[in-house]
Amino acid sequence: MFMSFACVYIPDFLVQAVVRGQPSLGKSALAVISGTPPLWSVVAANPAAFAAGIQLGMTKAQVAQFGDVVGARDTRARSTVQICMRSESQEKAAHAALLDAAWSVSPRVEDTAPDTIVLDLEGLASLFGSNENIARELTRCVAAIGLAARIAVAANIEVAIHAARGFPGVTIIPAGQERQRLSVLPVGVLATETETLDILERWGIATLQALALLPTLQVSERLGQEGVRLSELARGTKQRALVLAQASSTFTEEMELDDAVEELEPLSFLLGRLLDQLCARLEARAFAVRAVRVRFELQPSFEKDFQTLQEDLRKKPEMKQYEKLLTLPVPMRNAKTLLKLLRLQLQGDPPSAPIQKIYMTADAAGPRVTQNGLFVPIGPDPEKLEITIARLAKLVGEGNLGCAELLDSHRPESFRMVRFNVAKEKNKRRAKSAMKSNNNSETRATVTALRVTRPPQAVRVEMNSEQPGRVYLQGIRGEVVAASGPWRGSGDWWQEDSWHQDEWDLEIEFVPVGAQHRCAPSRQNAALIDSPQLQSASGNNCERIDKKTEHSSSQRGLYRIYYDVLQQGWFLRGEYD
Amino acid sequence: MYTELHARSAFSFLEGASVPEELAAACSAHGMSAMAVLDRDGVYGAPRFYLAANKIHVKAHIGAEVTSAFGWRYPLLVKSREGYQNLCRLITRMKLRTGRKGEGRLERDDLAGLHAGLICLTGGEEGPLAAALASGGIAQGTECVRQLCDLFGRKNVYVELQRHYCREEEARNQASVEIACKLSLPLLATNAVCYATPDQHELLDVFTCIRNHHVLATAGRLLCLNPERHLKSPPEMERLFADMPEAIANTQELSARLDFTLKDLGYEFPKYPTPQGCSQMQFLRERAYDGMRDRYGSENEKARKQIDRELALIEKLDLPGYFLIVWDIVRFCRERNILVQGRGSAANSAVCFALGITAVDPVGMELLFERFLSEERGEWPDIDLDLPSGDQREGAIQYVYERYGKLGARP
Repeated sequence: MFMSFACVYIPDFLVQAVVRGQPSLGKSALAVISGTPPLWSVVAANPAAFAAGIQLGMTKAQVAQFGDVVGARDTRARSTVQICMRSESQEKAAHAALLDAAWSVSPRVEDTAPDTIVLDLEGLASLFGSNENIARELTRCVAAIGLAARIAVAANIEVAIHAARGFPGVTIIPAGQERQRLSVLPVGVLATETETLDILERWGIATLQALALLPTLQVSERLGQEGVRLSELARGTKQRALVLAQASSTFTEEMELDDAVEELEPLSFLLGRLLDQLCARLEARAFAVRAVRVRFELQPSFEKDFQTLQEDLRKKPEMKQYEKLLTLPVPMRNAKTLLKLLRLQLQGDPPSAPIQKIYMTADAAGPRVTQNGLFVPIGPDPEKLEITIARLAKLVGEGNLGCAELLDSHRPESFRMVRFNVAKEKNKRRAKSAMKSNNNSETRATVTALRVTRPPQAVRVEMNSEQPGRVYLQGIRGEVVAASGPWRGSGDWWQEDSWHQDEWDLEIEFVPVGAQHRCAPSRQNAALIDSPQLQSASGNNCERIDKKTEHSSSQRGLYRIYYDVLQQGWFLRGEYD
Repeated sequence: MYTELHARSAFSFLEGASVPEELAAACSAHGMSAMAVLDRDGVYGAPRFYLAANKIHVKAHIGAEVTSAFGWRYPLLVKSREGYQNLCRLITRMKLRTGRKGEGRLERDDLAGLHAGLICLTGGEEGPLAAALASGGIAQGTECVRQLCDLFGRKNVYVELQRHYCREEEARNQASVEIACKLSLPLLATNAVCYATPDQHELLDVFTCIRNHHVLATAGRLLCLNPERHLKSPPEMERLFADMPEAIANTQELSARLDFTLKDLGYEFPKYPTPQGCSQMQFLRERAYDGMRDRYGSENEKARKQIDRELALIEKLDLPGYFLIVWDIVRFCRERNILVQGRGSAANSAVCFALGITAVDPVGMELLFERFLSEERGEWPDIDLDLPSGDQREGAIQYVYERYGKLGARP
């Protein structure tokens, strides 16, 4: 049984990398230029551009006669050949995408060159069938990431590479026919130095067959070890082992913009394109997104440039950075959902300057697997829930949404907001119900609940023999029937917001004082609230209660009040239920 | 008048923030006549506390918090010399059980036979009663205190109350009072002092962080709720326990019961096993005269006078056993060709020279004996021996262990 290797080669890789980032460019003739300004020259072009007369090495000015620079404002001047700058970031992203496509077919992949990769097909027959089927699957995967590939399958790595470089479409070379199939290829497909190719051309060697027919000893005498290598390559006998590439779980896409983007709409379009590319790559590797990190390079501000010294102006201005991290509760792969979430984040906190360059990195995780129980109610779709949470966060602010989590601190009411998580909430409910059933089955202890007033309400206290004797709350007077305390707490002395409080548990009897009585403190009034809207609602409630209780008799309750030593004031913390 | 009987010094490593001298000074500043320091698993701070307290006329009571096998601690106060000896033995047993530095656990059986002369308090949040109340409520708390009574005797158990303005503590106090009433035991107010002055609570917080491998920002509820564990003045404590005056009064009564101070240590050097019918002093004199003949010859009157003078003082201070033991070790080393040499102030002693412990003639060189041993100075003599490192040194150490017992010797 012969081993099989497949080579995936991307012709005109520089052009395809650019077109992958800007698909609209693929429809017309395109020349890719590179170099140090103003010495730009053509380094790659698509067949349409070559047909229009573009040649490699042409200067930008020469190419401009055929067409217009991409991004030019005057669209009337646009003709058939477009010019685009070479983008190393897009090439890097295209190459990474190519590797991901290869890993989706075989775990053993060699990263041969930016435009070439080799796959070991050992054991893939049971998955895909024949080598033709594998080649078709590879073509499909590579097309899904926006690239057009040439694919060759052979029993020899080097044969597969040269066949892919030399033959269009899919080429299958059966074992033993390597020399015969390669014979028609020009010597230009060999990866060697230009001088060596020139020597071969002077010898009249045009094809691999002609090179293979040359005696090895004589070739070696004239071209050295390189000649022997080329001779073996031409015969299809050169053997080597596959150098395996290490798969990464971080996926990055970059995009450099010719014109800086300032508004959210065009930015969303670009982000959507990058997300599409990322999701396609993740899908190829059977991954989903756990977190997306978007980094923008922003245009330097005008004011800064204005203040910069002349010497500094010669230097390249330093780009400002802006970063957003989108952490997802469950791994997702839906580009539209991710775009919505990113848009909501950017709407809430937009970048301060126009965007020049975009970096997008996705942390990969295994896709979410859900097994719904027959008798378990289906929870909200995590993706929709995340969008809803993001919308709410935009409304109320990032830090004001989620679940309250108690902090490990003596400071009363100390908590922080953490991400709302359905799974965690379910577990919490389960734990609570388990605790409840335990309480039912075992001895039931007396549980005292405190109805907390947030924010704490200021009260006036008259002391009597070192303990509160009379309390004035919301304009009414309360006589302290019984007091317990003080319960002293302090802490965070090393911080600016240190605290020091003396708490008292008081049994207070409130006595309405005729017309002065406005609102007795009540359970309805002491609410677990802290937003201004809800506070005003509570105030309204207070007025309603006022009318109801205006003619009622005295009201007795158990309250917790505290004296804030640092603020030097008394406050109501809450009422015991 | 209140007396603080449950304080902790910095010798409770990372659990106390004041050195004994600071505690003694604060005690004096508050006008307290006595105070007890109970360090964790040791009496390390006791000598310094005793010396500092003695200078300012404060009575220094000795005690320790001894960790039990269950994690909580017995707060033990020393009532008498026997109690001090028992406490030291308990700590030794506890430490030997684990064999690791800083660790140890006391089994209940260890207390049997070693409780005499000790007073047991029920402790604060780290005491046996708090642990029992937390695990089984009042019933288990009562049982716990009853067991303490069985061990130490009803008269030697006090139900401890502490008030640091803490809700949970007050609930425990109420349960403690109920148990004390049920078992007719006296209440005792303490403040479980961890630092001398309120501002030192910050230092204790830092110590707590170090002990628990945290920083201040992440220590959370490991830190104290408030800075109330400082040494409080008697009026402050009386105000705090205004509803239970007997708990304050009992501190004075208990302080009066604690007779022992480090002055009454009653330490005796180990005895040297002399031949039948021969006292230690007689045996030492014979060895010294034998050595004198070897070193000075029989007609050196000056040397004889000096040796007689030294022997008289050694007899007066009851130290012949110590000199004989050192002589025995030197003799053992010489017999086995182990190089041994006494050094330091012992070289000023003609007796040590005659016994072969040192190699310098103090008579010929006119060295001053009082630099080594003086009745006025009231210090123990100290003879240092140099031994070669390695197996030979180990051989000498093993000989001391075998001859004088593992618990009676320490290298």
